[in-house]
Amino acid sequence: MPEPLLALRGVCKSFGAVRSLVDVDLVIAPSSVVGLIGPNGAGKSTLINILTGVYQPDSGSVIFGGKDLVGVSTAQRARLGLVRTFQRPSPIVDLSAIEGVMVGGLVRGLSRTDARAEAQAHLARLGLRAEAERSPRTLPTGRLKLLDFARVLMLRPKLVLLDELMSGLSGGELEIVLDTIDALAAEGIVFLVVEHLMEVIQRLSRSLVVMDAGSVIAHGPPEQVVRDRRVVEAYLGSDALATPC
Amino acid sequence: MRSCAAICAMLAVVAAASFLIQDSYILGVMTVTTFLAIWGQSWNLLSGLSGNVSLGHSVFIAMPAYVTVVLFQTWHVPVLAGALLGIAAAVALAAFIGAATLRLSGPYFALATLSASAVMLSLILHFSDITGGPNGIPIAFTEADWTNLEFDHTRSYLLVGLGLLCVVTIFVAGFRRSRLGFYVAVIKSSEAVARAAGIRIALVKVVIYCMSAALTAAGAVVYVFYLRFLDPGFLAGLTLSVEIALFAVVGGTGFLAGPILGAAFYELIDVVANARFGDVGGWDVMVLGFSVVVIVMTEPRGLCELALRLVRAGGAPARMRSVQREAK
Amino acid sequence: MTILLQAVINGLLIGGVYALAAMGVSLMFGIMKLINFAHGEFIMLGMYIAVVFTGVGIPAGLLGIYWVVIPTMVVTAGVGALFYVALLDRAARFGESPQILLTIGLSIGGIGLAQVVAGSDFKLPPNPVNGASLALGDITFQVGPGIAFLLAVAMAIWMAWMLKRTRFGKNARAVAESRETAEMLGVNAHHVFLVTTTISIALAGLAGALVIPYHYTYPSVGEDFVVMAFLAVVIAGLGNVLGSVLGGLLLGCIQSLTATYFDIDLSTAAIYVLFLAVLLLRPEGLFTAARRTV
Repeated sequence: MPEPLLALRGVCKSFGAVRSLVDVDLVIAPSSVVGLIGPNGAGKSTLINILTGVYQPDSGSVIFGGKDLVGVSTAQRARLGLVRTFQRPSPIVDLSAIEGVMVGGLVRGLSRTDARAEAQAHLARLGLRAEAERSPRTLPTGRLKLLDFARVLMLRPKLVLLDELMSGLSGGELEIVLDTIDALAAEGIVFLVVEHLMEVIQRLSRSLVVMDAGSVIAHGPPEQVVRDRRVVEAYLGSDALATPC
Repeated sequence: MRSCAAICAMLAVVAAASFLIQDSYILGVMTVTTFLAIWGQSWNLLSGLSGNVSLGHSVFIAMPAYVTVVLFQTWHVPVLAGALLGIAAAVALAAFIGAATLRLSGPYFALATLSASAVMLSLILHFSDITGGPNGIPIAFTEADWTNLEFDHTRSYLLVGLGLLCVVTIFVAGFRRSRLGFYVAVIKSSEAVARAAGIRIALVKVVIYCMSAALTAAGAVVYVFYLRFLDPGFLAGLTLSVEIALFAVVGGTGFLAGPILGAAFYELIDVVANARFGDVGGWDVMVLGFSVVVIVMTEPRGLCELALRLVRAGGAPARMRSVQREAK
Repeated sequence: MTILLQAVINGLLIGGVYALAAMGVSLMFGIMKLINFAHGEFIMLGMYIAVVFTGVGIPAGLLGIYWVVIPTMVVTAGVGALFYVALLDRAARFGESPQILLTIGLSIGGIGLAQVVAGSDFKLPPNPVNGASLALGDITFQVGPGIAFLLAVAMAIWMAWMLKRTRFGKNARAVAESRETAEMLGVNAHHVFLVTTTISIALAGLAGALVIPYHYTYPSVGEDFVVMAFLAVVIAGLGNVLGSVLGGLLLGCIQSLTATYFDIDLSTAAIYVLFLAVLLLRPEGLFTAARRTV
């Protein structure tokens, strides 16, 4: 069995009296698209912040590519290949759209010319070529999210955390993104997709992780997970189970 | 780069023209404007590009000036050597302040820089044995000696200043196209996005602080020999820092020519006020202060933007100018 | 021992003006999230206005000069309202940087304006309060600072009552907490901001009027008070208006004690070093439970 790309063991995080994450165990193999779902307050955002280093876990370990991430800053993690997109990305005001994307390449050590070329390729792939020289201030949220996505792809990541990327995208944009993710996953990039849109989750995920009240309550192939009684209970309440389907 | 080349060409023209000017008052005004522009341009490297307004830049003027002059007059260290030490000291101070203020932004950052400048002033006034206290240090001029930055003619200081301004402008232009320039732009919009992109924010912040300090210090050590007098009230006072920030903003922090235009504007007010109202003080700061209010409320991009609009005659606002776009 | 007590008393009395200034800054900072770098110049404006009123006449009696307080406050309140309507209303939509630059520009512009209009000379209208003091045993109480101190305490009590008990106070606290939520609940944020600005500037006017009997009036006099005000506000933490009052009194004492036992320059430096220390180590303030990072 190949070494997992990401392994969380016993991760706990509390904020004052609120226990956000309780004993989270999660293992993600080096080749997959993993959906992460759960009702509001389940701890998904906290988990993302723990993975990216915004918060430190109270206990437990986070191992990425065999490396313990304790004390590793967000920026360092990004350079190691653990990246995330933002639900509401801020436009980078003083740079044009393509320049904002180039930054990812510059961090990787590319020259400006190479970074620009690579950024152009990513923009073309995501259908953003027309907006390349425009100021992000003039672009709608959907385009900003795609730019954010392109930027983190420029880092040649190993694991991409997509935080509600799909909401706010038009139908056409959604199709392009889903195809892109499929293609990149085939090349070996792992995606952890946090989403509310079930069609997206079902279309993309090879495996599904469900969280509720701070813990992982199910992890497996989607068809199996959605029938798990704990998952149904978490989303619909225990009354739902009383009704025979 | 287009505007950089244009600016340097213009400065060369000014330098040439100065040989045709004999009036020492005019040459003096030009010299003051040039050095203010150097400080405005260096300040902009830190504050304009990053969005964190520093109101304490005078520490990078006063400290290197005092280091150079005290070493020269008390220990007879040649000025050029002393100047290098002064600049190095300014860079060290910048690294310290930059690291200390990493987590601060906005008004808190502004207040911290103000306080640092006030502490510097207090220290200068307190250690009067070395610094001469509130009376400052007059710089004895014996004979023209360029290695000690002693020129007998204002025009020489003007020419050195114009050369320095060229260098600083080229540096800033290059910086904005460089890797660091990109990182600073990202940090300015969102530190979270910067971190997510793998940018080492702390390192970038400290480096630009040091760069800005070095350039400011370079201008300061020359200027102080032009003034022939180290006046703590002026060099280390809180007002100078604020004035630099303000005229750079009036000129336009997004433009390479912004701080230069701002310095010229500020000095112009002084000249006009002196001519019309003689000795009544306060006109320059009054007009400067209220100009900033007007600019912030109407055209925050500054005078350069207004000038561009006029040139385009139609009055349509300039498209977002990204300096980096011109570097292909 | 008497020296110590005297220094503390002096400090508290001086601190009264700092507390008044701090209250004004803190109110705007807490409710409008705006640090008004020009607050010192509004105090200066209050001082000049008060001096102009004394030109009308100073009635006989020790406290005669204080008649100017009310008219001065009325005028500065008007200026405050104008300040909000003309500038701050629109500037609320700007980012932090433009707001800083706006108030700094106003500050410097105001100093220049005062210099041009009123000249750089130091003014002090002759009046019996200047230099007057009350002796209680071995301790002397300067009348001028003493009255300022009493009014600072009175305003602090009024402020506490206003913020807790009046509808405006509740609305203001709601807006301070979250403007969006408050507006959804029907609070008119613009109205709150207008009144807040008016009160803040009126407090500056009050401070100015109280100080002219014994403190010189000149264009850059604002600096004397505003640094302490800012420091008191930062020490107390964002939005802690009453804490800033305590902060002002505390700083007055620190200033008085360091000036008594060390020298003036070090006293100034000590204040700024304290300022830096708080900003760098605990920017959320000393009087608040650590809740937010700036």
